[in-house]
Amino acid sequence: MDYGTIAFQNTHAAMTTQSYLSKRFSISVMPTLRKISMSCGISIRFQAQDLQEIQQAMEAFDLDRDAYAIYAVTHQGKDMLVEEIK
Amino acid sequence: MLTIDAKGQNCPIPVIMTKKEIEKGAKEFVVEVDNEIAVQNLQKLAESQQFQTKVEQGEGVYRVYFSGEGAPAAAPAQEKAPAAPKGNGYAVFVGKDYVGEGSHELGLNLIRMFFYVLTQSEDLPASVLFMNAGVKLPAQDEQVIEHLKVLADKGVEILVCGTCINYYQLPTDLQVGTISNMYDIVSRMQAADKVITV
Repeated sequence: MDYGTIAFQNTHAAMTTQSYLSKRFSISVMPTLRKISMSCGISIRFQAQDLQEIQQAMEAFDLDRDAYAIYAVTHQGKDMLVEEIK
Repeated sequence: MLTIDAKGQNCPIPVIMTKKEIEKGAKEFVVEVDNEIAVQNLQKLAESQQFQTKVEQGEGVYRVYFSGEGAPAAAPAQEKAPAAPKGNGYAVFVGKDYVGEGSHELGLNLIRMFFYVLTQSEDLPASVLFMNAGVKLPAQDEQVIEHLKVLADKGVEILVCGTCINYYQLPTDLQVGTISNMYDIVSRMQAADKVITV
């Protein structure tokens, strides 16, 4: 896993999550990867080593579980492997 | 020693005044200014004209001592923007700290993502130029700063308007990019094959 990304159902969820997570983690906003089909074009990128804590933080966050999805992204040469983490 | 009093003069006047004296053949002189941005711009001018500088700080004044041989005489009659180091490529101009109109919050995230996408791209700009509220990004936005660092490492020139930094009272010690002036910013625009305004 090179990095993780969280995709959202709507933009409001993306932006409130960014404010919430940026207090504890080093994150950045990124355009939602083409391989992911979620409604909002804004995703959050987080560091691979933060995966477990990010998952815990998201569980503690006041957001419906089906409003977001977490993925592990791995680059393989010119290809990209995107796996959802349920 | 010849003293150029540029106190109270706004950018780019101190640079213009100094350049005129250099063109007249001055080799040893001192320029008095009252702000740090002017000092930095004068140091850059000195470098480009092959002068050494020494800076002394006094009460509300900075004295920048110039000494050297000066560049070989090829000086044009009127003020011209210096030639840009890179010929082609494209320039990105950032005049605000958000993209588009409507929601500033959305616009801020859009501009962060714009720079993110550039870091993932092979087709990089020759320069990124920040003016007016755009300077707040390289000065203060953590995400944009990180992306700009990646671009700078890959050879992209990041220029940040000094007058604008001064106006918004932002710190002059940037984490990324160099304090610049209208001459250099315009010359990058002129040298580029295209200028993208975000």
